[in-house]
Amino acid sequence: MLGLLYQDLVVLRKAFLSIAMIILLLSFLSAFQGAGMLLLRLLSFTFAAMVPSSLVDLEERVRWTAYAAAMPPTRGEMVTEKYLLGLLLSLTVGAVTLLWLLLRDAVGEAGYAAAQLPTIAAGVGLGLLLISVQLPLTYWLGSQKAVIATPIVTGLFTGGVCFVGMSDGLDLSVLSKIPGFVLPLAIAALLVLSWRLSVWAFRRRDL
Amino acid sequence: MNALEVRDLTKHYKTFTLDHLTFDLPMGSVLGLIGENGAGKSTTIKLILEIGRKDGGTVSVLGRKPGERLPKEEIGVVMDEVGIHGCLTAGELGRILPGIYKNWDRAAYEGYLKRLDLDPKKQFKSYSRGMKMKLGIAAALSHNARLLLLDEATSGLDPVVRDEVTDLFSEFTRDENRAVLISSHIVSDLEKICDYIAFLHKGRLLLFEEKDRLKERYGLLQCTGPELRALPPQAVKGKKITPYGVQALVDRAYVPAGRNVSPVDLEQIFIFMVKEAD
Repeated sequence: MLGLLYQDLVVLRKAFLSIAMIILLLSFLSAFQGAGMLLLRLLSFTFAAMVPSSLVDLEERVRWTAYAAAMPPTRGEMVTEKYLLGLLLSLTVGAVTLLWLLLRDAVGEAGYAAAQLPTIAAGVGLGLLLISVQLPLTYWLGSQKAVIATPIVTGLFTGGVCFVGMSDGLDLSVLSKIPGFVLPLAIAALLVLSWRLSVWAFRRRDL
Repeated sequence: MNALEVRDLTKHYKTFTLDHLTFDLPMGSVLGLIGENGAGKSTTIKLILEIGRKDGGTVSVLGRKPGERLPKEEIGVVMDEVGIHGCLTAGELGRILPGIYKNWDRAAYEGYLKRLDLDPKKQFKSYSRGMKMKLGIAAALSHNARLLLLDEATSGLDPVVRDEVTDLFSEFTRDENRAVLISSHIVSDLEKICDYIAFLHKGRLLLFEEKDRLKERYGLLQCTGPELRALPPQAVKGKKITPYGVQALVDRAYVPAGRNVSPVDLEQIFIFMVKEAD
């Protein structure tokens, strides 16, 4: 599995350099920008979250998927590696954003980084949520069909959250009473469920 | 011991069925799977490798019982399209694969790169088809595999490269604990290196036999229509009617003594049998 992860990192460095630069720029701007900061920050995590499914797509197109399935790693390990990569990328974007914020602290506005930590956590959470939605679809439908299905499902998911948030009849103040550790646990549980679904779906596919 | 034991292997698609395939591949030998495009060669190899899900039958690889985990560490694979990322170089691949194969032999890999004249710094996408195939073969031979599964590994290669590559496969099976299954529609390549031949046509196995026995058993008979009809039905395996008479592929065992049966090559046997099957 380490070989698969190493390959992905080499391919990312060579074929996804432009996306890496965009993520870096977004994260930099989000640290130094006032207005629109949160949007830019979440966008950088969104871009990073799209990388694992984009890699699966690339691998299917160059026939690496079938080739790798003939190698010692199991299909479960192949899927797990993509989730690890997604986690690694989300945390890396979080760390890079924190570095920019610490830099901003150092050049003047002390305490700003600490105040922004919840937004970084929210970004990592958003990234992991997107990965949890995208990868099972990609492994279940194949990357070509998933290109169509993923935005629809993501849109429905986001739309549903917005609808609930804007509904007048619902008392959402109850959410503020939920302990802080519940949300990360819920995201972790969703990620594990998503991983299990992906492994199940990928094992059933003819490559 | 058999490197491969395939029994009643079956796979259904909407427009194609791989129909109860049964054959063995003994250790120390090369089996050539010959078939036209779409005959089911790639499907067979994919089912052996568990890349596709079979609908029936069993496959035993390198002594593992059916259902036991496939010993992929001991299997070298070359697909009809070598699935390596275009941006990677042969050198980078040589650093990636040790993380995938426990028995990776770096010195052997570098040796094959030199021998096959592959530039380790050149990106895969800039290789010709022949070079891509050679890199796939170098990788398949560099982790001490005992079984090589080669899907159309010689197709699209120029004659010089084909010769180099078939020599590599012959060298590989000098060790009696190794075996090769190679599929191709280029019969001449397989005739050179194979010990066993399997003909696959429209998902069905037309024939599975030792190559030498096959050439001893079958021959070509030039005759007239009435002469052909006088032969026992089991003697005639295929026929071609021309303005000058009939050319028939015959099983020598059933042809009366004294008839002049000439030798036949694999390609002719294959063509006659396929036409007869149709």
